[in-house]
Amino acid sequence: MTPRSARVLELRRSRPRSRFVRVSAFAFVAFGVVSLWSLRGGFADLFSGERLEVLGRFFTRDAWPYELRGEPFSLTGLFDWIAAQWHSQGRAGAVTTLWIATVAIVAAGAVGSLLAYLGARELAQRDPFLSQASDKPVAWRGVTASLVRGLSTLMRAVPEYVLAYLALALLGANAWPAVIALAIHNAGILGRLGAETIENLDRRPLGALRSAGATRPAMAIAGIVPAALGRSLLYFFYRYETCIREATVLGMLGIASLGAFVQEARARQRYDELLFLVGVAAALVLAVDVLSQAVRRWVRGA
Amino acid sequence: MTRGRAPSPVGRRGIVVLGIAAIGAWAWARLGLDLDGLVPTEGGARIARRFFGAALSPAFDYEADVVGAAPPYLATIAEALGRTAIYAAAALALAFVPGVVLGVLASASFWGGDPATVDRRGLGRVVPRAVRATTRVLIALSRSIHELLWAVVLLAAMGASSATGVLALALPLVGTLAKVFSELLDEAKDAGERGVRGTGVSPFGAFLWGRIPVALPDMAAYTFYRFECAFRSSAVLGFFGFPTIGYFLRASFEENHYREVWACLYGLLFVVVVLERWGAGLRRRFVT
Amino acid sequence: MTGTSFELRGATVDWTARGGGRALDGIDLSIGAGERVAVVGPSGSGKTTLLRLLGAARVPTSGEVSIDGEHTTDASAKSLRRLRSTLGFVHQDHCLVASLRVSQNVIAGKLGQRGGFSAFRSMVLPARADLERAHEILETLGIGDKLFQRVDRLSGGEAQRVAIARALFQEPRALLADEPVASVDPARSRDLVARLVETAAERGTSLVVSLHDVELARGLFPRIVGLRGGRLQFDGSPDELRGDVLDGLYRLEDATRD
Repeated sequence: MTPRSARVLELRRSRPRSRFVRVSAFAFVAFGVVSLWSLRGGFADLFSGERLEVLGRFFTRDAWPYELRGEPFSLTGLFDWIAAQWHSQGRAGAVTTLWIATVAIVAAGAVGSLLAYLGARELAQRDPFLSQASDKPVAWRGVTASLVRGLSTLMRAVPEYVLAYLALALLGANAWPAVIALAIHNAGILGRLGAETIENLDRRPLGALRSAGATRPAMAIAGIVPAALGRSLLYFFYRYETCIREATVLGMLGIASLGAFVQEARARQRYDELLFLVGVAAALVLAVDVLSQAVRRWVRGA
Repeated sequence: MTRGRAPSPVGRRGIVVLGIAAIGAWAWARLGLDLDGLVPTEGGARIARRFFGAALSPAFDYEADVVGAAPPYLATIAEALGRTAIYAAAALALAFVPGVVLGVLASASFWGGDPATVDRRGLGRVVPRAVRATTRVLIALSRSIHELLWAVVLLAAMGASSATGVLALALPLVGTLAKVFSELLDEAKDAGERGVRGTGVSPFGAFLWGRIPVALPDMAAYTFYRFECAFRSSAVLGFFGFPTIGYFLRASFEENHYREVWACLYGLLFVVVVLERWGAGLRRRFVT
Repeated sequence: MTGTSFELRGATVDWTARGGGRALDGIDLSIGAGERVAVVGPSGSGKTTLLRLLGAARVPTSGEVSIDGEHTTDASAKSLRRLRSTLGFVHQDHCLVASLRVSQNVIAGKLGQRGGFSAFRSMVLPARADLERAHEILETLGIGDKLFQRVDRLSGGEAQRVAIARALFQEPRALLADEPVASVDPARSRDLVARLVETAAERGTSLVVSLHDVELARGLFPRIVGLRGGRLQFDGSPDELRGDVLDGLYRLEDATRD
């Protein structure tokens, strides 16, 4: 072995690498493969004769509009059917879904902003945006920030569907359980993203405000809100999109959004209507997606 | 965007904020919400007292007598959490490769070609555009249908099976991963790709060795984050009869076994918080 | 091994159609095999564009560039790539692949010469010979110990040297370096350019280096090309580049055009 190959080997052995990352990556991939393997029975079963029969019947019969079955194919007939469905249930479901998501995200934005303000570690320092890396936060402010961060973690950790299910039992069947569930979950997410945004703000102008004697609320109004608003709005619209997606399905618990009609069609085994409603839900999500992209671009252009 | 010139007090953002407030108020009015709705119903109040009363004493054992031999309660919960994770991981394993392929095909940078000869291609201009547009439509379709709606459709079309649940989770995941991957690839700094192209490698090689490695840490971090989301969705699948933690949560709630409900909730919270901490640790280490 | 020869006739790069200006305007220049040339000129004078033409990274919008007698304008994408694989190019902003290691970045120099599977293996499981060669090159540049570092943890000067190492690993017939010492401190930069000149001389490689620092160019290169506003303003020996000629090249007003 030449001295060079010995040196290369030695360098290779001592190369900087993270055991944590490697072990995580290995565990993650292995778990994925093992999980898929452990469910192979379920996948093999998909191709059994009985299932294929169900699948065949679904596509050839069940999925086709009930009123048009047995009649010769006509495009106008299909359009009329779609229009009738839209008027009888699609529109009501879509509109309610939209309102639920909108109220929820506005509430989540308001609560999330407060959580962000209280949870930002930088603001717990004695002199925010003037602190050194080694500085300790003001004791009670530091504790509050940790508690608020923990709270927002818990808020976003529970799935919206579970929250809505529990809220429904306590409040009865109106729109509140859906609104509350979506608002809690998204306030947790926006709170964390907002706190990160505040901590990554340009320190100099805010530090200058502090040196000039500004209190924290004054800093928030004069410096933090204007500086963080652009990014926060991007997050807000990103969450609005997901909120719409979730609001459609929360109806399946019995709240009057699209999901309620889906559940009803399911109970009546009217899969034609079910597919129509799923289509409406997808169209709604796509429409809000496009709209929110347009608004985000417009905001960025400011 | 947050730096530089002072933002004007009422710019586009101000208009957007005011617009959001107005639309929120309008939605509130249209929805017919009133604050009385927040007061629990009489039955609801009784449930609420008992439910929140049980919060500090989650069940470690079955709340009611079990007929026949049953595994210890905590073992049941642990197994349900494990199965929730297995559904999520299987869905992610299934969705990852299609997600990468669609993400690459949907990215603009993959079709950039060789800048020196880019003006020359004739048909070579049409094909990429067509493929990219098709891919983006597929991604939008897969993404816009919620996993629970996929589940409902698949249950109707194929009947109940573990595979139905995994597919329901995997189908929207393909689109979600693909969309974010394509954005990460396009946002990656193109310096590396230029450097590798200079060695005479094909446009594909330059993309593979010059661009993908740059985006890879972010892609890995996002995939991990998606596992956390898939875990939550997998838990909810339990409400539709799949044997994940949601199934047990719902069953316990319907039988008014609120201490069991809390055990399920704490288990769910524990796993999600561990996953989140883990993901944050990973991001800190490999996203520079 | 003989160096590459370059021949430019009326080479023009015109971005007006795309809302830009003229980066290069009718350049006539010939560089013989094994010749060592420094390109100087104020910023915006077209040095980078000239090097990109020589490196077959761009083709001229009008005029001709031929590399070893091959016209790049008519060349197929494939023959352009073949040409590139024989030309080591050091980019001004290093153009390393962040998040890969130094070894992978250096070994990537040969990606263009290796096909499919062997390219894949050289990046994922590099052969010992490749690693040792990479180490040898890095050692002559003074950063042998960085072999397995991630490049995004390197300083600007170290990254620059890795970029040079990648080009050298390629065993090119011509070495084209665009401001290779832009992010190296002045004391080291003379050393580094001298090493490039030395290496080129040893191997008979042609060498074209663009430099901001005229003194450096005068001290180390037998031939200097001066650009100004996209035109060739000077082409001669270092002794001829002084006084009025030098002032004319760097005169402030109208020095750049977009």
